[in-house]
Amino acid sequence: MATKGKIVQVIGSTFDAEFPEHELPPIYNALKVDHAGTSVELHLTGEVQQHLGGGKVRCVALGSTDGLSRGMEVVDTGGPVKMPVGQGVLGRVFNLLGEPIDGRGPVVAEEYRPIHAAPPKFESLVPKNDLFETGIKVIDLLVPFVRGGKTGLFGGAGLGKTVIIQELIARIATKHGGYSVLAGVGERTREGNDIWLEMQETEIGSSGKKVIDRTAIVLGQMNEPPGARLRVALSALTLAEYFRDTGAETLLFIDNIFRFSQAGSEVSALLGRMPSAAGYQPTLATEMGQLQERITSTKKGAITSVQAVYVPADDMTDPAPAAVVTHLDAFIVLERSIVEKGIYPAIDPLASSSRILDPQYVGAEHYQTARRVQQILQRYRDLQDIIAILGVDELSESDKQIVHRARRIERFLSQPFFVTEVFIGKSGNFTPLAETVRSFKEICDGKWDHLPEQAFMYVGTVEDAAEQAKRLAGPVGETTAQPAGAK
Amino acid sequence: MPKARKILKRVKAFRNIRTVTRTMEIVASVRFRKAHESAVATRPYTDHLADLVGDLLAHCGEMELRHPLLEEPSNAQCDVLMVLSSNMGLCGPYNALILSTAVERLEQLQAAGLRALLRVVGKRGDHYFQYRRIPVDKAYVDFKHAPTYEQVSAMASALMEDFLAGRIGGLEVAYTQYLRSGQSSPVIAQILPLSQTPPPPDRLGGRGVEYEFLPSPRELLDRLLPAVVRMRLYQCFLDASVTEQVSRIRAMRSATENADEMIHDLTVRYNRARQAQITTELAEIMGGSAGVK
Repeated sequence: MATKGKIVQVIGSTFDAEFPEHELPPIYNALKVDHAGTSVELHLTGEVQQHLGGGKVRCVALGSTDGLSRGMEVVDTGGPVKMPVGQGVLGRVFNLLGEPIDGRGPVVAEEYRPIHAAPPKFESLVPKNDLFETGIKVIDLLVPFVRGGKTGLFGGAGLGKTVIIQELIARIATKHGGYSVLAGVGERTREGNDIWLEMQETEIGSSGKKVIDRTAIVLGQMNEPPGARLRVALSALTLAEYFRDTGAETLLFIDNIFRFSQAGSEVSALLGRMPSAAGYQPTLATEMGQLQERITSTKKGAITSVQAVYVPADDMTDPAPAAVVTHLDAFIVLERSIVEKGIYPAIDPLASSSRILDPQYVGAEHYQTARRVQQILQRYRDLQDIIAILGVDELSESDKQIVHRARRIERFLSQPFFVTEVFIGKSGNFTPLAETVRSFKEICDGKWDHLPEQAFMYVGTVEDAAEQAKRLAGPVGETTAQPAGAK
Repeated sequence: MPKARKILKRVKAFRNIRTVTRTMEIVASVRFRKAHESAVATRPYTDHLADLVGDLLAHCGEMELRHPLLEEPSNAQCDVLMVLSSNMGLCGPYNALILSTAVERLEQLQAAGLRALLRVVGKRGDHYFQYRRIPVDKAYVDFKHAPTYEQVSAMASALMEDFLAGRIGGLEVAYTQYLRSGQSSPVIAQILPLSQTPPPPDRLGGRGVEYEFLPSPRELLDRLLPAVVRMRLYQCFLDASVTEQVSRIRAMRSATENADEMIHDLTVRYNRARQAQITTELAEIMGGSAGVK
């Protein structure tokens, strides 16, 4: 029944297999090598990528090719890699092949679904324009998330992408009624483990259920060969698609989608494709499109996804992050210069944008406040060069006031996170959207000009800032109470 | 290479700014020399005149001589606070300092329940008060670098007239004093009513001099005291003008240095961006050719 072939060539993480001429496995079919020799025992799955002619197919190995040798027997499984789906996957951790890796025994699956599938049909799509409240001021005000939409978190190394993803899981997944799927693509295994352990402890609201009971995790981290990192996002997506198709509201977190493109570029040259711009695979946009088009909300159910995107060398024009941008509803850019000021989350308020930041979706007041904040910050940025050369004193009075407010707004965009409580010593803060809009509006109106800049760091509403100002002034006030000139 | 070219454009902009600030520094130092000369040249005259009048008055004390310029009119409604700012900017914290000193004084006066008319010299000050919505009674902006003696004299005459007529109860001037070490500090000086303290005895030849008055002391003071008021006011203007130039030299020098630093930083960034671009292109060409083989 199952067609058998032989390995004829191994190149890095790809290999060629030879089959009888008329029984070639189709593209994307999974091939299995189960070799139990005297010295090596090897279980490897590969995915057919190309038909080379002469009965040969070229495959990407979805595991390590160590120990693979020519002449080993290859079996065509008759279809693509399949993931177990259904209620049984909740609370479990998988690798990209759908094998549980949490050591809790076999999975009880209702159904197995191939990881390759066509995106939902054109007519079954529904536009989503509802705001998804996160309680993070800068996000809710300037980059509102779309319920059932896609959000990207762009940032270079060490700007806090993973922390924001973890924070969003802590904020959204704990209040969310549906299911969550977490894909770890080419990031640290430790982080996946952290989240897994944390989910086992955190409860959803006051339901008595743990977050992990409604979550499935799929990991293909940085220790895995490129083939695994190339397919793990699809595996996770398959789980999310199943939940969506059952009508549930589903959250899909992907950390980090750039690793998907990176893995693609690692195997691309081995598959004999000519490198394109900046050394990426020529099929970069196609691959990304095929993945992203499947992450979408349909009439049956919704997928809200948050994807971290690594930006190599902080260059947003790099082809890999640029390929992701077009697919997103909301677009968050993390900025190194903001990290250097010690402001977290280091979201760039001017480069980030959201499709629904529009008066017809968020309301006129929210929209106008967001635009005013951006105008003030933009003007401040324009003035930076002048300040650097001539100093603040040369600015006109109105510009001085803008600088004054911009510096406060800039700091007010910081916020303590739940997941970083232990690091900054402040408990996490959830600021309701209405409070956020009101606070920023009042700062723009100059109602809080009298507070020192430091008071705006890591607070929730503007009243918290006023309180912090009092605390800051407390011990200092006594020393400055001496009469002026008493030296 | 769009990124590198953008950096290059900024470098060019900074070069232009640097040329301007450097030129302004040189121009300011020439103006400083002039202003300094006239301030220093006038000072002995002003000081000596003040000493002389002070001594005179000390001696007149026994004659119970009183002059309206020395006393506050009883029925005056308000005082005048004159603020000396500059017409031109780009002089560092010069204007900001004197203006905040003036505002502080204004608030003090208001707290004490006194009404003060604000007379502002210089466009910078005028704009500042307009922006802060503090009513300005009169603004003198009709001069280029600093008002001439004739202009100051006319101002003084008008003010004295008001004072003598009892329309104003006093004149205070907020200006930046030039201290000999090249330092300066914003001060408030009271010009009217004229207060004359007798000079330390060693200044006028050591001992008190007996005066004979001709014409009468009254007539003499009528001429001398207005001259003192004029000179005092003029000295304030001269000091302000010197410190303005000093401020400008300093501001422009540090601006030039800052621009140099920026140009250096940007040049390094430009070189890096350019090199990165070349490396990427080379890598692409080599990768491409390897792919074709």
